[in-house]
Formats: sequence, C-alpha cells, structure tokens
Amino acid sequence: MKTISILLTVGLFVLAACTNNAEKPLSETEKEVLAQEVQTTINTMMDGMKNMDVNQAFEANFLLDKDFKYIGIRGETMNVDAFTKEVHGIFDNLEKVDFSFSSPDIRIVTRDVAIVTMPYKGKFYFPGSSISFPECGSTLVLQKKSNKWEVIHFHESLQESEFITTDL
Amino acid sequence: MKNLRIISILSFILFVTACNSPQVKTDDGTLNDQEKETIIAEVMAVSSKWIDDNNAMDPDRAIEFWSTSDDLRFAEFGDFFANRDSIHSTLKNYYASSRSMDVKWLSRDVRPLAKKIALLSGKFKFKLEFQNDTVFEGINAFTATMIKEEGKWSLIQGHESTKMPE
Repeated sequence: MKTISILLTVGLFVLAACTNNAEKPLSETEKEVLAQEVQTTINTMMDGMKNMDVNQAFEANFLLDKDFKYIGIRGETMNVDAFTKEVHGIFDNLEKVDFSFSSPDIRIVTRDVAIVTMPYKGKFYFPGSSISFPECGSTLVLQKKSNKWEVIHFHESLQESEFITTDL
Repeated sequence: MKNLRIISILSFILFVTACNSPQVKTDDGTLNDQEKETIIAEVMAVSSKWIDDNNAMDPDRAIEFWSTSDDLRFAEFGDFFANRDSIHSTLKNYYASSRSMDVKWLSRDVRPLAKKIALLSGKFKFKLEFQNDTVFEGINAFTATMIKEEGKWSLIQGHESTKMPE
C-alpha cells in the first residue's frame, strides 16, 4: 500500500511537470521543416501572381478575415474587402505580367507564426498601358491554423517610389 | 495486492513514457478574451512609450522598442537596417541634429497571435525640425511583430513605409 502511495505521489509530480504549458524551444530541424511548409505556401502565391490567378495567389493562401490588413506600396491600409477589390481590379484586367522574385527570407518565430520578407520586381501589362516598379519590399506575416499556413498581414513598399513608371 | 502493484508500476511507466515522448505544444493563438485584452493593453503601452521617447528625442530610450535579439529585422522604406546598433545610430544622428520632434499615432491595431506574440500595425504622423531649419515630415505606415521576452514586449521584425499623398 505504501508503494502505491509513493508511486501515485510521484505520478502527480510528473503530471504537473508534463502539463506545464511552457513551449519547448524549436530545434533547428523543426525550423527547417516549418520553413519548408511556409516556402510551399509562398511558392503557390508567387505562381498564382505569375499566372494572374487571384485565387491561387491570394485567396487560397491568405486568411481573409475581418482582422486581415494590407499596407500597399503607397502606404495605404486596406481591409479584406478593399484588398480583394484591389487585387481583382489589377489581376483580372491584366494581359500579361512579368515578376522577378528574389529568394524569400523565412523566419520561423514559433511553431505557428512565421514572417517572410521578399523583394520583387514587376511589370503589369494592361490593354494599352503598363506599370512597372523596380524593387518592391514585402513583409508577410503568416499564422498556422488547422495545419495550414496563411498570410494574415501583408505590407509592401518601394525602395524608390519615384521609379514607378506608367507607359501609355 | 501483487496485481495492483504491477498495474500501478505499469501505469506509472506508461505515464512517464507518454510525457517524455516528442510533444509539440502549440501556442496557437487560443487565447481567451482576458488574455487578449492584456496583450493589447501591454503592446499599446509599449508603443505609446516609444512615441513618447521619440518626442523626448531620447535615442537611448527609443531604441528599447527594438528587441536585443540577433533575430531582429527592421526595414524602413524597403531597406533593412543591418542590426539594432545601426537603428540606434540612425536615431542618435537624427536627434543630435534636431531641434524638435513631434510624432503621434494616427491609428493602431494590435492583434494577439499567441501569449508572447502580437502583431502591431498602424500609422503615425511625424514632424522633425532640424537645427538647420529644414523640416522632415510625413505619415508612415508601420507593421511590427512584437514578442515578449523576459516579461518585456519588443519589436522582433518590422516594416515601415511612407504614406504617399492620396
């Protein structure tokens, strides 16, 4: 009986230790696995942009809820409705697009939060006109929910805003 | 009695094994309302202090807004600072040659992501008057991923850009 009591007491101590909510630090291997997951999401987004496919680029990879925010190249802040209207207004009217993406820098902050920074260049060809910008810096904050990484915040800016050119 | 003892020992071994198996504790944003409110209040306070420290033109206090972690990354107008020291140096240079600084938040939003992670975004207006009478003013858009380390919130990754006229 004494042995059982001791075992139960020790068991309770172990239980208390095991239910500690402190998050274990990420190992390098875990970070690499998570970064690869994020990379897959970003690759899909980049492919969607190249394919001029709003769904593939944004709607499938973004958590477009009421808290979503996009800060555009002119410093304007858009909520989900404005962002959706903006991307459809651009991508649905394109004839052709040229994007040149630099390799994304992926930072795994926790098992559920990642930050991606990615410079890219682009030229949009509309019927009768085109817009080009040489270097756009973007920061994407992603959160993993239900085993899926989604962009919850997107901030873009230009290094040299005066270089936005419009050809008619 | 002997069976009971064996069952107890086996249960104990199973329990310890389960606890020591690879366990991924996800701090996945399942925060209750009280926790969210606390995070929002704390990040708002830290970001208000940052504004106050800039208005006081105190670079040594203002730099405390940025994390001391080597993981810090901060981009201003599309360019990344090399490290925290380079941000500090920029602030020192600005304020050493300035007469006054007037900066205030126009809007702020804090989105708690986990117990120790939050997303801060917003816009602030600034007017920096240099000693040579030149003035640098504008509205900047701001995104900051904030982390709480050793009980203190700070920016681990941020992006700041100028808001152009409508």
